Amino acid sequence: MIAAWRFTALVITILLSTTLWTSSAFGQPAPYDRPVDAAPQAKNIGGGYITPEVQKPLPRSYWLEVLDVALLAAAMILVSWLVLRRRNRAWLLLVTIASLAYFGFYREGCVCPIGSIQNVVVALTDPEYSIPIFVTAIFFLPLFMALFVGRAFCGGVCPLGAIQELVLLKPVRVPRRLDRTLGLLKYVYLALAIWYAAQPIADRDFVICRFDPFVSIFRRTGFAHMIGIGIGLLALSMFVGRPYCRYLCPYGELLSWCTRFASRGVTITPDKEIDCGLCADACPYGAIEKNRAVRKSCLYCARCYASCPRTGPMVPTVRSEAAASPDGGRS
Amino acid sequence: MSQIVVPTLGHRLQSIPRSWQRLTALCIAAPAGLIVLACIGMLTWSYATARIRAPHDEQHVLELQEKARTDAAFASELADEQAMQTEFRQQRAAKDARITLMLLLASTAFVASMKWLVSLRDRFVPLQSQFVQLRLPPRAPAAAGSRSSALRRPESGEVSAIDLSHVDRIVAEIGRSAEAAIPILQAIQSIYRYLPDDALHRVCELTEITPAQIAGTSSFYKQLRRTPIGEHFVRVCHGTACHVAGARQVTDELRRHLEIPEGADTDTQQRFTLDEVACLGCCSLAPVLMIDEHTSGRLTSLSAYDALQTFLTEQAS
Amino acid sequence: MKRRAVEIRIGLSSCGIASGGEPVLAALKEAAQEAGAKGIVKTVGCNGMCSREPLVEVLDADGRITMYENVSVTDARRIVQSHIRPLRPVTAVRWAAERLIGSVRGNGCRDTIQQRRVDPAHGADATYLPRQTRIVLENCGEIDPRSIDDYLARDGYRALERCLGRRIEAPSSERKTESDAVANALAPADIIAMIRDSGLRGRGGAGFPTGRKWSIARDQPGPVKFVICNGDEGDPGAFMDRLVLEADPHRVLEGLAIAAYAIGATEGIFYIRAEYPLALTHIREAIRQAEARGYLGPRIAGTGFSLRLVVREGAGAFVCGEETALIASLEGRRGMPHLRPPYPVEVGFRGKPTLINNVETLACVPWIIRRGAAAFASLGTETSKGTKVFALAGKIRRGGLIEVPMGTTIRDVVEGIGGGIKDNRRFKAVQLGGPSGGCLPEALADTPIDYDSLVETGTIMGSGGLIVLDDRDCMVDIARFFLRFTQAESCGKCTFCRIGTKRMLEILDRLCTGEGRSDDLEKLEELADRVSRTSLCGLGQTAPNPIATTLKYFRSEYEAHLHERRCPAGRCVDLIKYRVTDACIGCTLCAQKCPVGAIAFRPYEKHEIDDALCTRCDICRQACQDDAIEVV
Repeated sequence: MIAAWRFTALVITILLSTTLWTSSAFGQPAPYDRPVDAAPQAKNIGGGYITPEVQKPLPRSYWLEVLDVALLAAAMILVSWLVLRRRNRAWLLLVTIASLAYFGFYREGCVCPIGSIQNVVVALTDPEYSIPIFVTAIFFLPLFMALFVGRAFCGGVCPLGAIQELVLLKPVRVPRRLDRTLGLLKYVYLALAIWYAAQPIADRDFVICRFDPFVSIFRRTGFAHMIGIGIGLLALSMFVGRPYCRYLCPYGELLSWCTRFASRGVTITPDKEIDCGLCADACPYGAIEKNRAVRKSCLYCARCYASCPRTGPMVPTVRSEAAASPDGGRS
Repeated sequence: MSQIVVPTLGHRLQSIPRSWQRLTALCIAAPAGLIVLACIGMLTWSYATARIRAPHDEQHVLELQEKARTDAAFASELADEQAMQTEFRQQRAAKDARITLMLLLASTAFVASMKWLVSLRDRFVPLQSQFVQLRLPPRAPAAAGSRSSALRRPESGEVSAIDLSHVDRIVAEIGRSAEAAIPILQAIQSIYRYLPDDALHRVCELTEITPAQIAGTSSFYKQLRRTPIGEHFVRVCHGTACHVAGARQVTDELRRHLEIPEGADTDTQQRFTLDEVACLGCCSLAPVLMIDEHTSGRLTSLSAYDALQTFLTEQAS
Repeated sequence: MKRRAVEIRIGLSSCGIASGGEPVLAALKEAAQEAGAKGIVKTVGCNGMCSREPLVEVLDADGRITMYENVSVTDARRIVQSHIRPLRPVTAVRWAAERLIGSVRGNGCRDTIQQRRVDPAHGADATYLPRQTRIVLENCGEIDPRSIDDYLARDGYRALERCLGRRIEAPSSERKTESDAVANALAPADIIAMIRDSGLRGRGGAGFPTGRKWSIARDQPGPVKFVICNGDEGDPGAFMDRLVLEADPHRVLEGLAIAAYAIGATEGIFYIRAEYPLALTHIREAIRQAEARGYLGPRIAGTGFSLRLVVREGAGAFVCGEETALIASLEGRRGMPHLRPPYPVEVGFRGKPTLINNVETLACVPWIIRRGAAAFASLGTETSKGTKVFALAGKIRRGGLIEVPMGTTIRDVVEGIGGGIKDNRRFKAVQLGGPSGGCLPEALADTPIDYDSLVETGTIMGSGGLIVLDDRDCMVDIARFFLRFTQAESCGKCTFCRIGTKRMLEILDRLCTGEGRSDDLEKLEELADRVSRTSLCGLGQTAPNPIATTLKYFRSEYEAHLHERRCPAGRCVDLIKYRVTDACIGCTLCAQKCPVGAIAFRPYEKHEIDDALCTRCDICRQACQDDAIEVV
């Protein structure tokens, strides 16, 4: 049943990606030049001001784009291997830090799969627009991955997820009902993003990028209110596990649809359950219900594996110290 | 708070005393936190001052531009002003960049040391109640209870009034001789679920059976009971096979869960009557439990109550 | 009778129902209905493999039999799908799609149900059914107990017809064309001679020769006599009567009718425990059907023989298995035995001669009449003929109801048929004969099972409960268990039985709580001897048997309880402690499950059990997934 659906989903994604690729091959890039008249001229400034030549940012060299895509793919494969096979959280954290450094601070959070939703929407609605091949690849690779192993992208690759993941100190359990309700925001966000991206070029707006809370942190510059929102969200994510991913990220919603067809993913636990519930308690995202992982909301953090008494560390000596304390080690 | 922090870092640094580690972490976290706050403050301050200055500066430049158009003498002043402003802004940008970098580093240090600190704390012990829910379902309304009971019995109203017409009918069906005593008592019990005294008096009036005979038989046979029975009748098999498979523990566990007081067989709310019976004849499925008329087997002291609950929820639905 | 293309049988005795057979039946029926083959699912009685129920048996069109054990609701659907070709093409396509998808998903129907398959030809299952000789259980699991036609199709009521010398006409049957008289009627004396020659002995426990009992009953003067089928199977650990009554009620009915004909009784009583509701239902239904077909009632088959059967429910007293107590109970009194003689067969129910036979004894009778006394006598040993049904339970791998020829050794039964001990534990002992029997150690497992060999060892055949014990069972505890039972069931008439058992129980309680006194074992032996010699009925006479045999064969365990205050098997709660071993991974499961909070909730640490709070409920040991809790 699932296999059949996954097959269908695969066919759809492949068709879509080839369409986009062909459109990028044959489509004409939208001409963009800043009208020289609009730029400051000597006549309205005076003082011998000379308007410089119209400058366009140099396109990133081709091999660097290929490198980005390759790194993305490699990181996702690494993450899923670490989580599913090794069940290792320590190495995963290293990958997370590396991703944050590269995709976040070095590449300044762009281009990211989350924003690429909009490029794809534009490519599908506007025949004039030519979507770069690597943007298409960046959009589809995590979805492909999710079709097979779940949200490996979220786990240690996405810089937005990574920064929230790394600052998480002491998560508060969000009541399930509130969690569900807040989760609906993602649909609103996704709908708005698609709506604005599908507008004709004059009214077009890339909402996701405009309100990306962390991009200004990655770039260390930006609108003050966006920086404020970013810092606020980070402060929040010290106590609530990944608020952006769980309640806002529109791409996460697409990924969680894809995970429905995934045949593998984080499971509690693959060899032998003890059903002790410690993993459910350790999961900051509420992705373990009734001692089983909920694949669509699992963010691949491997905390469940790290907290599993079967694989996780036993503490033989802490007792003596805790027993010495008056409350007997209970807090 | 109920989060277990998995011992990773703190666990690996076990050789160092935890108080030392805590102190070190604090020594990093506190200044780092202060730096973070200071950086945020400085950035805000620089932003605020720039915001306040900007309209004023622009106004000044515009004014100078106006003047320079008419009077060339102002051109150099304009250029100076513009250069000064550019200088100032560039300085500010450079300063902001430095502060931001510091902020990033400091916040990294802060988060890392805080994580360390958290991992060093006595582990948060989740409340046991979070794992083990109080498992007795809320008491069902009386009407639902009588409907769901699998044992044959009339509506509750009839029972409370001790409708003796049942007794008359039973006696008419079974007979009036002394020999009919046990079938009559069994029939009465199947109606009232126990032997009400009124019904027994009525039997004595109607038949040749004497009160002595009734007292004798009803105390001799274990099936017959003179005290009212709870809503559900739970019988735990204590046959040999069930005994060796742990029927004693199953019974003790059920008694504890159903809150049946010591020495009694029914809980105070009259919900469950727990009885130990000799053998239910399902020895291959030992230990066996019979709830009302439903048997479930292969129990353990761990699963017995769950079996009971499953039955009750199935029946309720 | 024409056989349908495919027949699916599901065993639904009370054991099958208890294992969740009813939803499986519903699923089978639903799937069969989808396939357009509505009537192919048949409920039958248990075939004895109780421990593996729900059990589904499929008879394919080519006569192949496939058996599936532990069938779940989803399995049921797959079983139907793999054996039946649906009538409607739409259903065929849908099923094919369902199976295709199932196989793609990796939980294909074939694989799963293959695991459920019982292969009677190979492997461990090869020894279960083929090693048995089935006389009483002949039809169990083969016929629908609620259908007289099924019974008739398997030579049912032929024995009764042979006795009466007449065909009994069924209203709708092709037999009408045959002649009425089948053979010369057997005179009652001939029947009794046959039973005597067959060597059949009472299967209720004591082993009194059935033929002799019948001939005494026959010789009693007077027109009014009673036959009673004793189905008050009070032995804890025995369930053969329940199963026979549930799975093949007509056979018992036929046996009772033959007995009645042989001794000249006109009224019969089924005395069945109230704890067996399904058996009661089936036997009532069987009586109704037999009356409708003319196998019961006035002037059966035009002969002078009339028989009226009634069913009486026992009210829950073990002692009522004793003949005189049973009669007292039938007469509406307390079920207290009285002195014999006079035997019930002389002065019984309502003061009239009364023949009381056990269910299993009666179930043998039709077979003997049909196949002849010699066939029956050829089975078994010199003094014990025929077969015996055993309820195999306890720590056995494949428990259930089995039937073996007399003379089979205990080891054959336990290791051959039962497949040895569960969980690879050590075979320690068997308990035979319920509260009246005793425990035989593994060293005596080569004892042949017959009345006399068992008596030599100090136990008795009993009604056929055979409980297998492993090294975790404490023999003192077993003795205490049975003594508590007999003590509670003692009617109180004989002083030694009433008070002696009480005193013995007190001693055992003391031993099990570690408060034994130095002379306790001697006192036990003395009391055991007194109680058995001074009691009126079987209950009291045999009540000390469990103690006597365990004292004889397992004295060291008693001594360990007495002198060392230690329970070697780790069963007596007052002498054991639960302890967490180093295998503990700190998962807190035991702490979560502990009902009294004796284990502190400390994740990732080796748990500790607070002995003062621990009630030895064993839950932690069951909850632990790593076997990190041991009993010391």
